[in-house]
Amino acid sequence: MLDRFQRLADALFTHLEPDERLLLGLHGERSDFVRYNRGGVRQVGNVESATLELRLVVDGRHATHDLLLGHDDLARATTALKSLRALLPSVPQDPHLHLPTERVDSERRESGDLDAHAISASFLEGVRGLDAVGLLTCGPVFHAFADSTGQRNLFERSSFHLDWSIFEGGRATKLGAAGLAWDPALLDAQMARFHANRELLAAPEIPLEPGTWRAYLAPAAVSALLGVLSYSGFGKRAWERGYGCLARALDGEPLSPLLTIDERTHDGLGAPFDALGFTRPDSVRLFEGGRPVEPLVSARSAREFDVPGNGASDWEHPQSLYVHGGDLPEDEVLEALGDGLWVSDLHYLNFSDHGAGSVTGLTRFACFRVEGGRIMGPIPVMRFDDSAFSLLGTSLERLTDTPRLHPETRSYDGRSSRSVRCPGALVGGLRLTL
Amino acid sequence: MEDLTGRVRAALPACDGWSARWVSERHERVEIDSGITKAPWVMEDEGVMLTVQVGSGRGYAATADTSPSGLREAATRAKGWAEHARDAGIFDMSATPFTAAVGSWSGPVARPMSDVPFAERLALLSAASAPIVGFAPVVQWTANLWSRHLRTRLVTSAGGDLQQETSMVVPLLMAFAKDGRDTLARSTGRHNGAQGGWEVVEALDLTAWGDRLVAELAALLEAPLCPSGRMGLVLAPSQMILQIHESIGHPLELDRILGDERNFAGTTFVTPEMIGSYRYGSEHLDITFDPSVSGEIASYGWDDTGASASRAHLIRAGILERALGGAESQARSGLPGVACTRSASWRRPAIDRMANLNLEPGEHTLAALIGQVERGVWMETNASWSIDDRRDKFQFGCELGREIVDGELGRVVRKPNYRGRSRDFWRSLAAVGDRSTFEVQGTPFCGKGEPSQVLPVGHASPAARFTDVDVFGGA
Repeated sequence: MLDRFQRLADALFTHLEPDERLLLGLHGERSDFVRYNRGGVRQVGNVESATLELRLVVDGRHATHDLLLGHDDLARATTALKSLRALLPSVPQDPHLHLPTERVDSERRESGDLDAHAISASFLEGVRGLDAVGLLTCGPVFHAFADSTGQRNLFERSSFHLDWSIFEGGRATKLGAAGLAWDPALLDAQMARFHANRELLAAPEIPLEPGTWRAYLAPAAVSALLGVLSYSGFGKRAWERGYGCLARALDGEPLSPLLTIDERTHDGLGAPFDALGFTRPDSVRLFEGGRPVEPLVSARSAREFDVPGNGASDWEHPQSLYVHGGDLPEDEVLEALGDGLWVSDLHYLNFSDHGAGSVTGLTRFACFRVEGGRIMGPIPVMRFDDSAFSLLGTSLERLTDTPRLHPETRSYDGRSSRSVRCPGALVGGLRLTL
Repeated sequence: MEDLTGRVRAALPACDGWSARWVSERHERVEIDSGITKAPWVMEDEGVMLTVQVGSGRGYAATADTSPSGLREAATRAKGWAEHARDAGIFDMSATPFTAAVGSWSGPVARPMSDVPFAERLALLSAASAPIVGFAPVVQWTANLWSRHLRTRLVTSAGGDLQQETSMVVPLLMAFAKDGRDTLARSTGRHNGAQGGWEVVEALDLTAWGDRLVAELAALLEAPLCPSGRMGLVLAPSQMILQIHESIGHPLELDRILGDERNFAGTTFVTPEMIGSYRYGSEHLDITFDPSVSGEIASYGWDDTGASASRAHLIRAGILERALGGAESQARSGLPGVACTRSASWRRPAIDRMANLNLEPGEHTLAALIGQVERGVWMETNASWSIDDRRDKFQFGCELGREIVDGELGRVVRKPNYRGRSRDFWRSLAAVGDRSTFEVQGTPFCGKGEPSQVLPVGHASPAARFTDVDVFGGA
């Protein structure tokens, strides 16, 4: 797919007028999707898709046209180029348009040898007789960029991701395995986790009243919290204009001194370049010791606020968030928690007060009541409504010592390359409301 | 697409049945972001999903390469997965034969967006946002128009051939104002999508909205926090859309009841035994699945498996009559459903989805609804939504609230929120507004499924009054 993109780019650039600059992007995948329910196959198939993005720039004006590659690509792309050319005179100049002035080529290909049929067969064997539900995603994703001034950036990554849960008696254990190559040991390790949880989940449910509870938020729960904060918490535009959910951190109300957060492209799953061809640095320190350091800066913000950009998307959302680990060994979490709640995961988070960084959501999957450092039994689904400045601020007591990777499982606009790597968090108070 | 049937037949390996669903979309977006016109965007998206049946199994392959070789390779991939499903599937797919229906359907369009030049769209957005530009507390705003023209064709081995065409427009005007440490938002609502063309934009009257947003933001900046406590609640259609969506629509999806969504979107508190007898809400609650409302965002003639779509009551006088599930889920569960197996694109297989899910109007004017409340809050325009994975414990926030005291609308209050449980809430539905309070709304962003799918769903609703609700102001 990348070679096809390069040939298409070469051909398209010959159609340009002298004053035109054309930026081309490619986002593609060849994905097998096997959807499971009740330990069997619910829906299964394959998707091959590649979107070509054309951005024509003339005299500070620009417009974009995306089209699907499939057949007669050069002819259709040339038609799209002509329509952009016809539109541009009516488009106002964009004072925030900012394009690379230096050529930085790159190429990264991580092509695994993955057989989705074999992985699925192995998975089905591993969960035989169990109520397993979830999704296997397998195959390569492609991202590429070509600038008519010469720059080329190519990225290919072939991977699998098994994301599933096993239900018993209405309660579930969430499991997952991902990588560049399939290893049955990954499945074995996850099934061992399930079996370890099985007895705990079978215990009678312990009723819980709303109120403030001491809690351990497992890495999946912390990842979910960071996911909603990513909406407006780390971008330059939100920081400058003061409307972001973490704006108060810039206004003298820091997060916990235990918290250091990076955007780590080199540790993530995505391409190291943005839609305009800017290179993403390996790492950007967003927060250090709870205090904001450097925001994610898109090309537009770089121009608007006259600062260097760092390859962030237009939305300035993190792609590869990394939260530094703390001093709490994972096998000492129960003891450190003492009396409280073990929250494995959180669900359907949204802002209850965006400007205050307040978030509501619900517990999900295997969550437990803990007393005296021992798991006593599962708890009902509970709603929380709390502030990031408490959960990741004044209430944060310790972080576990090993950040865990959580690849984004959503694939609304194609397979996501976003991920969060974070530790678990021990908090003195989690406010449950329902 | 010309001769889709012939092309697919030529590409297919030996199999026990097949369908091909061709989808062509053209999206356009014009946006002004805080005074700067962003690059206009067009997307042309076109491809085919081939579904092949082998014995009891079906597999799919989606491709944009509709050349003979492209279709042949896709068909081979689909057959390979069909064999996997035959060997390990949870359901005999031959129980739901491919459709033999033939026909065409198109949604309403008075003035196609393709006839509206970029400059005209931009001029409207500029005019609508002019009052916002001059309002100092605003720190961020957007004015944008997104439109989609969709054509689909479904052909099958059973002789089915269905063609459908719709246009959709989603206008949005939204502004954030800063007040010391607080940020407040006001917008037209993110759920004003409708089928049609430029007439949808004109009907919303964006220019008037620009003035209204500024006036209401000014009021919100001066307003106290929403009061807290258990009290009466009157919801505008611009909030009812999310309440219906999250706590009636999703819980009634048959694929949730069957467990398909448990790993991602979640399950439901609704069980098969409830269908036909369960009291979902008060006697004022009448919910219809209605894909025949002209202009509502998810109207269609057939769903994406070719099942003919028609209006049906899901809840009548508070009693649950049927769920939201298409032919496959109906066959799997033995429960009644509706024609709602839908797909977000040619890349995704069809699954149970809402379409248009509406609350039927009652008999009360808005003044009467308000007049019935001794102490409570009026809320409008959804700002925040969250509900648990069983679709029970919810919490919603709105952009604007007004106190109700002794049957009269009072002062504006900021950050109004409420929470509750689905069953208790709908049983506390005390009165439903009449046609004068009725609005047709639509969101293009309903997400679920593995792999993920997002597609439009419509909700029409009058205003409605609830009693004894847990209301509170944001932090």
